[in-house]
Amino acid sequence: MDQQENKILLALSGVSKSFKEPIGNPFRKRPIKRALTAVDLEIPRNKVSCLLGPNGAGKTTLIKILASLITPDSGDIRYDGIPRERWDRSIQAKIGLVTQNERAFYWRLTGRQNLLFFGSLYDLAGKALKARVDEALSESGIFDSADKPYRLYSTGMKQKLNIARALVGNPELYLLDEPASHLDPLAREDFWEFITKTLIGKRGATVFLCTHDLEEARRLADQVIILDRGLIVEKGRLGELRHLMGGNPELELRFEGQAPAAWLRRHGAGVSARDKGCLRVTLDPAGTDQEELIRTFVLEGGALLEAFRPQDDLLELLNRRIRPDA
Amino acid sequence: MRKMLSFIKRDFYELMSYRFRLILNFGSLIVGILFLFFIGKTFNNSFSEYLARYGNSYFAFTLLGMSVSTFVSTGLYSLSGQVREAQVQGTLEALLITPTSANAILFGNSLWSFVESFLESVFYLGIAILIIGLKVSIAQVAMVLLILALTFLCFLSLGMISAAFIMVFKRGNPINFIFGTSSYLLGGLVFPVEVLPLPVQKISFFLPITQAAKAVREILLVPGNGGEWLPALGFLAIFTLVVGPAGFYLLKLALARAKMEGSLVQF
Repeated sequence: MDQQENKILLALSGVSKSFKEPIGNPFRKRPIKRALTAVDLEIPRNKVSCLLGPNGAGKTTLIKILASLITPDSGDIRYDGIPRERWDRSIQAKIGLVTQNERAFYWRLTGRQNLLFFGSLYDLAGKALKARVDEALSESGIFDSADKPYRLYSTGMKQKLNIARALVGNPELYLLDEPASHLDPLAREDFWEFITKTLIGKRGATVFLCTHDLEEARRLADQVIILDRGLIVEKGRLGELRHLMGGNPELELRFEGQAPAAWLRRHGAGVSARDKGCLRVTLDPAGTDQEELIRTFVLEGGALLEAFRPQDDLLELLNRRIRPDA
Repeated sequence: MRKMLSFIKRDFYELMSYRFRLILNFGSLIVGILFLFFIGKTFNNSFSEYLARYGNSYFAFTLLGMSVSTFVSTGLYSLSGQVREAQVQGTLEALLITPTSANAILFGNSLWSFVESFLESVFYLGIAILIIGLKVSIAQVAMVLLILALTFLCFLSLGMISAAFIMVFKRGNPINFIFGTSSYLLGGLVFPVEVLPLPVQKISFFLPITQAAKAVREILLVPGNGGEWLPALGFLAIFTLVVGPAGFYLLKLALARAKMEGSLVQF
């Protein structure tokens, strides 16, 4: 295996999947819906790959195929060079899945009891199991609530336990299906930090993350894959796709007298003149606290906020830049 | 084995969180036994022709029948019920992603129900021994445990087929209809098979529950039975050897089909 191949943990080639669509009338023939069409993909080791796509794009189908919960109709999938047909339990143990399904726990048991049970299915027992569960609870930030029954958990706590369950298995590859979708903004920030520092940094793992949140992809992705209606429409490194990922948020600020362009630049804003007394200001979403910056411009700089154009959302991005028929 | 203990522990904790249900279950077990006791008291003599071989005690006859009947509902309904519950709840996918075999997961999921059935069965036998005053040797206890173990395996095999149906069709289960209904009606649990019309008796012979009940009664109620229970033992063993692998195979097919259709968590 050469060095290039060694960098790729998971490789997909020509993976397709279609389903019979459920319909109300049992006497009519069920139409076939193509969920994925000839998906080619390489997931590099120890990187975050973000699969972006709107609802119904086929993201969950793809992630479940990778987790061996759905069998593809055709195509080749290789984990570390091993074809899917030859995957055994040792490969299965290397793949962890975090879904948004908060029901997939035992509600009468505590968080810790749930993890001890699932951990035992990873051939862990005794002190090793307890230590692994404690570590997972700490890393996912739910240690203090571990002995509360799961049914009393908030949505955010349930999602953290979902992540902790994957950590217990200590997989190489984390498949995360919209894991931050139920988290509040603060918890989302913590979660993103957890991915980069704990999963990628400390554990040296590989992350394949499904999302429809452009901001999440911008913050985390080393590689971005855009899936639309079962087809990969774009893929590449984040830098390569930055032109596709929607513009940064922009402000239009009006100033009395001379506009303080130099002062604005010092505060990390990209500035271009629009007309006399009015500046167009571009913010870098990754590098600044936007709300704080706008407050500074208005309160300290004496600006009047005339217009604010937020970042594109994914649907807008697909419609404006990718879908040829839009 | 360690994984199986984890399943038992999980379900025990769940049960303990529903203590009132536990008390009610025990209460209904006692009420059921009292029900049989008073029916026996009322009709004891009218069954004497059929019950002569078993010491003319309707209560003892039905109590031993009930001791094996617990496996019918567990085998047929628990395994498939657990599959359905795991599908609806979404835990099935969470379990199948772990490096544990699908068969172990499905069996482990219903293991606690079988433990409960076994304890219930032993409770019925204990009542029979204590109240009726049966004199039982260690050899007889060993023989009864062997029969119970084989009955468990028979119904576990049927349960696997039943679970395979549920995994694919979600609802509607011919195995439960065929073996569940017929076991209660034709299995000779609360009345002797001999009271049935002859052609129906022949059908009842092929039900594992009939053989299990007959064997337990022969061992405990017929002194010096001279190995009358051995054919029943042979039947249960052959049934397990034939139906068991079929159950494994069908469950494997059902799982593969559910993965192909992407319907593991559909309900």
